[in-house]
Amino acid sequence: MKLDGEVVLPQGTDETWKRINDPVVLKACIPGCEELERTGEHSFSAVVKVKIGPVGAKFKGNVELTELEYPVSLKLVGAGEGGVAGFAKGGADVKLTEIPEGCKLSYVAEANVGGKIAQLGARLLDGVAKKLADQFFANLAKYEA
Amino acid sequence: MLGKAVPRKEDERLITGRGLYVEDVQLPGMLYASFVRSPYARAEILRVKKEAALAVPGVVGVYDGSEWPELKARLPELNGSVTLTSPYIDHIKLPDHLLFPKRASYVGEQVAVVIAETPYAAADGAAAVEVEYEPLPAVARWEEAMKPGSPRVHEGFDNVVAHLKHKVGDADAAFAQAEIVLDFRLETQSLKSMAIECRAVAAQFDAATHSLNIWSTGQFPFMMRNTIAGVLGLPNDQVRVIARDVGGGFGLKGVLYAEDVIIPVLAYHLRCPIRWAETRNEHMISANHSGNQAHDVRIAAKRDGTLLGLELKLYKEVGAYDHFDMMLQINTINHLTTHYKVPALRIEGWAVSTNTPPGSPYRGAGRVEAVFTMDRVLDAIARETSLDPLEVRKRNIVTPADMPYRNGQIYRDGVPVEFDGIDFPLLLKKAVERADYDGWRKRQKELRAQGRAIGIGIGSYIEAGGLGPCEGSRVKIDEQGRISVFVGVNSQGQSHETTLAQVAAHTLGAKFEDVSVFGGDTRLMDFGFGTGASRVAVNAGNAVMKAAGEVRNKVVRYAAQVLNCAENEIVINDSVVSVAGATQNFIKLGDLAARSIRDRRMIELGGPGFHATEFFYPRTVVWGSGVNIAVVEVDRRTGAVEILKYVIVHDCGLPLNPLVVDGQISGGFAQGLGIALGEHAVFDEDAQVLSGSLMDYYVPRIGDVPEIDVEHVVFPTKDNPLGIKSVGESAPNAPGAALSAAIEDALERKIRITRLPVTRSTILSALRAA
Repeated sequence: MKLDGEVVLPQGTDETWKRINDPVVLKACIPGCEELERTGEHSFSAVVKVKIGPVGAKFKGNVELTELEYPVSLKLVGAGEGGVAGFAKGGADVKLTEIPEGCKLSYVAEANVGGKIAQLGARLLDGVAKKLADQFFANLAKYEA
Repeated sequence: MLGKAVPRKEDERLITGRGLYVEDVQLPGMLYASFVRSPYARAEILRVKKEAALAVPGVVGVYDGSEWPELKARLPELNGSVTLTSPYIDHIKLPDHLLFPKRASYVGEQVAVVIAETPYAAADGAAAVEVEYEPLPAVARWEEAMKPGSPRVHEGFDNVVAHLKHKVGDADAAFAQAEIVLDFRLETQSLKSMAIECRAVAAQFDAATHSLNIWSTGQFPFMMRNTIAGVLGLPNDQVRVIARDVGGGFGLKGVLYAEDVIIPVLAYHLRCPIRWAETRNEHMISANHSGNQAHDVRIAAKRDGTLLGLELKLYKEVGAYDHFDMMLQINTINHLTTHYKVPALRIEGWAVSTNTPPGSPYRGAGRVEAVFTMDRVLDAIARETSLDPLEVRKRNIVTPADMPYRNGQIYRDGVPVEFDGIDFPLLLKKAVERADYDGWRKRQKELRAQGRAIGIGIGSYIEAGGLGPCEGSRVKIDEQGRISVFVGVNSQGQSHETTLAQVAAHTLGAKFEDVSVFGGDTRLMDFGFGTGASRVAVNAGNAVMKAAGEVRNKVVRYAAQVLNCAENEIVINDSVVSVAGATQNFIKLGDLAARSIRDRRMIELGGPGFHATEFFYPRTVVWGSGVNIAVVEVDRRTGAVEILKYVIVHDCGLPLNPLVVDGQISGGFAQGLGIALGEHAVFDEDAQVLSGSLMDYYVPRIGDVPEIDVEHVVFPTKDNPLGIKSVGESAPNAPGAALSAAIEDALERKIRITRLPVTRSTILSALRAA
């Protein structure tokens, strides 16, 4: 599955950069996120509840931020296991650009899924992923500490 | 009685929901199983963590193969109706197939099993088992698997597991003479049979006899019995496999699966009855599939439409484990030339492993691929020469004057293929008349002028059935006059209880109502070679005839003594034995049997009562055949295909029961329709299953299946006493070819159909590209 998009966030690049590196903000903004903890300087472990068509599961996984170039770009790599629901792994290239309205965030993501999510949800995956991404950025834009 | 359309004996039980399927087997203290399956197409299994599963209420145990040596067993290398006599194969090397693999090699492969007090607890337990995997690169497509640098399905084994070659005539000379040379690739999809009843197995340990009772959905109960007995070190007679009511098999259940061995082994060790029933999702991911197949075809022909020769390169995906060597490929090759003369043939084939479930036959077993190829070849010649496809067929057809006709093939039982007593032009003529071919050609023109896309297509098949080695039957008459017919085969819906009763009643002169047929239980007979390869009517049918004939001989010899007459004066009719011409001198079969029990005269006749066991060994297979003609209308906006007329003219020798034959034809046609227009087991590039439900895997719904027009033509065979051929795998074979041709024709040959299934989106995208 491939997904790309662009959003405009009211915060500037500095603030956005801070937010996407902060487990507290991420936990509050990722749809269905139940746990998110820092495990290293740029790595996190997470538990996220996702429903794709008939398959609902809690995914336990790890996310790592690499190739960090403050405050313009970073790469996100992650993998999660949802037990009988299967697994997901993937990554995203994220770019931040300062604009008068705040910050333009663009991303190109790629993910592979396996198990039940692939068997029953493959047709629905693109739509669900787009919806979750939109929701995440909407949450991020309006997040207030 | 023979050849009569009597209603099925099994219908009342099955239609009123009184069948006894594996999931109806309910025993005191029964436990239930649920399997943990790999979500990866290829992965090292590092660790199976059982703790969380064991904490689920109701869970009794979690097993990953490390517990008992029997769980380390491997499945038999070859399965079902495989014969090892085909001279075509020159190379085969297969890896061991373990009950619990160290490395998963397809999505859905079993990794562990949870046993619990309820099916729900077992499922919850299976969900709680944590497995640590190390995912490895998988290979999902046979094309990739054949490349030198591609990942291996199994370490240490080539992905090409088998290879074959065969030739007939002089292909080089054919191509040297050819006025037309055409080449193209044809592809047929992987299929998964959608029996209403999924796979299941239940097992119970009987301490009194130290034996296992097993209930199975399999098509080969004796193979299952012998394998399990071998794994547990028990005598064959201490393992009993019962497979009585089974809701469809279609080849997918003609193999032994890991679950079929694991459940009995656990029941044996735990001393508890255990049942496992596959869910539909498990069926979609872990049951065997038929495998994609591709044919690179090269045609040598003359301008007048005569076929001179054919070259075929055959690639067959056999999944992660190949339990059928090259049976399906050889079936394709053996059936390839159907009704037509192909003087020169050069064939090479490869069996290629991928990280998908093991390969299995699907009703038709390689014949769909054969028919699709031969008819596409003839249609390609028609296109090239601008001849009508019917004319091309007439110019290449094998005629009665050519009989007995040998096409140069050697069947997979090692015997040269020979057609005799078959009138192929008559089948074609009858189909053409019945379909009103000429009338439709006229109407097609008129309707085209109105913008309607009408097309006509022809498909012709041959069907070898009745594969040996043999089947047996025991027939006996009890003191009530009831006749029991025991056979070593089981039914998945093939009407054995009716047709075999007809054979016995006919042979004995008994009432049909007095006959009961018992099969699907390894306690009933000593041998049985399984229901598959369209073999039961020919093998078991003739065995019943022989055994019933032997019983009749005993009745006649004894009755002549009891009724004081000559043996040739004995008449048996409606279960009554009488003396010809003497209306007062008669005795009922049951009374005669009762009388024989204590009669010392029976010393000469094999002991008390009337019974006999006989086996029938066919010389080789028998050849059924048929022609399908389809008339369709295609909706250019939606790609929808409407069938306006569908004709099947076929020969299966003398039908034992025309109703049953009709049932086989209409059911087979529905599957053929699915194969033509939608059935497809789909995997993504990581070998993840994408057709994971019946929303994703198309099976024709009743509203999708049109009325068909069937004509039985009878060319009896001298190859067996009943004069019958097989019919089980007839009808799925030709719809793919006939409908493809009709769709192409409807679209005025603007698109070329080279692969099955022909879905609406295939049609639409081809139209857009054209």
